[in-house]
Amino acid sequence: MASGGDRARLLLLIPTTTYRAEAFVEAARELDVDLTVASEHDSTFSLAEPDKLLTLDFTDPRRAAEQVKVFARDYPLAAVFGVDDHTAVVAAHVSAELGLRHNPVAAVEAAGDKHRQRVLLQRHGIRVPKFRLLSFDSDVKQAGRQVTYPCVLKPVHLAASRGVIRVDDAVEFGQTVQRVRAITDRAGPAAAAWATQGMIAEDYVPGPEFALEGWIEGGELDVLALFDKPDPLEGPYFAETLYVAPSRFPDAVQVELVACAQSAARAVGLETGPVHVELRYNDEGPWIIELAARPIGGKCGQVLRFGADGSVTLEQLLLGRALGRFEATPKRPPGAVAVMMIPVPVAGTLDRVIGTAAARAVPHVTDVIVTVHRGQELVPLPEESRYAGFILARGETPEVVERAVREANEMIEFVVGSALEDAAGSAR
Amino acid sequence: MPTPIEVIAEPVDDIRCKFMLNRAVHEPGVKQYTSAESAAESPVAQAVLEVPGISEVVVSGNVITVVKADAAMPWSVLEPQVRYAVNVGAERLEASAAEVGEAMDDDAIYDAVAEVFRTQINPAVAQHGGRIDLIDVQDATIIVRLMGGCQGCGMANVTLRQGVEAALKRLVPAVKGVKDVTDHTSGTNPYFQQGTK
Repeated sequence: MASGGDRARLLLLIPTTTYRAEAFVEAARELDVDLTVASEHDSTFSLAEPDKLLTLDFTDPRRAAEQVKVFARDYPLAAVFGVDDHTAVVAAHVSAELGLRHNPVAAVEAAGDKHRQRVLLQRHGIRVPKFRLLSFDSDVKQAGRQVTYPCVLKPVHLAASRGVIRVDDAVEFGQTVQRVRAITDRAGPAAAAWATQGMIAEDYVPGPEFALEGWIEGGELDVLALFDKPDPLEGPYFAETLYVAPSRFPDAVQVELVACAQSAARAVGLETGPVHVELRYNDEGPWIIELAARPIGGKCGQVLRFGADGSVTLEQLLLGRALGRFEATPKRPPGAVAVMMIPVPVAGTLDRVIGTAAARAVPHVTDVIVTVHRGQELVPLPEESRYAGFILARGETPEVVERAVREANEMIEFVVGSALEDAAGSAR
Repeated sequence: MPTPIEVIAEPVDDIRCKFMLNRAVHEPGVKQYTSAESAAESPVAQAVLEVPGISEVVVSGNVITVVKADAAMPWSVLEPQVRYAVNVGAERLEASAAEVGEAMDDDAIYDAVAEVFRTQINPAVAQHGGRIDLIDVQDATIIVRLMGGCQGCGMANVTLRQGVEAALKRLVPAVKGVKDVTDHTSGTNPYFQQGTK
């Protein structure tokens, strides 16, 4: 063993575009493990710190697994963790190669592919919207006659509601298919060889939406949090905005939602690892909208704390469970949490952000995080999927924290273009 | 045990071979040694000169040029011994730095860390358009501010913890940790932009 003695070594797979590098790296430090971080681009210190930094091709999980196998001869690994859909697939391949505890490759690949996931869920009798796969060369007119309206178009391999658009009739259908194609073209083809190309057209399912964060151990779902999404998500675009936990829906509804998520995870074949499930609920019961074998995205995880004093972060819990350090999830501290994902409000070059100090001062708001920078070209959903920032709150009740993040959000303004135009104007 | 140094060998001619290491083991200036005794200030050069058949070592930063005494001695025989000697020397270098480190106060740590920033850290982060300013040393914790491509970069924390802090702890063992006081929201040109799940 080249270094580290008896300390466990964790391999963390982090794409360079993630919001969550710091949260996971700091969590690993708290867990006192030897940490190796792998990304898809070289770090400037990769050569100098070969045991701490790796470069892997996340689009080729088999090759990445071979690379890690060689690395692990010098630096044996106790666990591998991928933070997003693509790196979760790589982590599954690496774990299979090294004989480490993890979800099976087929299950993680299916979870990361909107079409394969739906096929499996439908086959196991899980309630999912009626769907069809449209390849990029499908006959749009014919497809438009075969779907039920309203429907929702979704690129198979894009995430975070990018390219997800509601369509209300056959006329809109053709135009929207072209628009989704253009979004997909701009994003580039599915980088991963395992992903299906194309888009899904599925029935629009009315009803309130929920997000469930969980950990699967031995195929059993351990619920970490069930969030309500109080903002109506009716389209035409589906920007995730507000998450509030605990859920205010009746216990019986929550039990149904959890049971549905458990069945879905089992249907996809998940055994060990994180799971994030988006569900809707209406008169027919719970529906699976999306399932992913990865943790919650963006900075949302920062609102989740565990243990009586709330000292354990979500990332510590996830990495700890991957390392086998928690047999069960510590309870969340009492009270409620909310997170507002601030959608990009308007297209243009960001000049400045106003009101963050006032927003931070709103009672119960614990943090306001701006994730765009001055001079950045902002593109709203559905063409892009970046969030402008996040507002986090903690308080006694769901009502209190929801009110706090809404109030804080009202105070923040993203000023686009004006100063640059003024500067250009005065130069003329 | 320190992380092994990776070595790439490039023979120059019959008697000279250049060894490129994945990290610096000497100051950037060029130094030439012809005996182990004369190389006492450079543990890596000294260890290489202890290999039988090596007559001269020229060292600068992360490059060591080795001259052998007998042109007939094949590099295939000497090369593994030089690789081993480089790592033996690196261990001696770190042990000596650790001894010095135990007795260092914050001012001394500042001076040592400033030199590492000048010769290794900032040349490395400059490849991504970044710069790291050494602000202060407080109770052996290094206070830094990230600039340019590092400010607001999605991988800044990874670079800081896995690269900068690791290098500092190895080269200046008295260092306890690194604290980042950067306002990352003010960065206008981050090398890696955050923006997906």
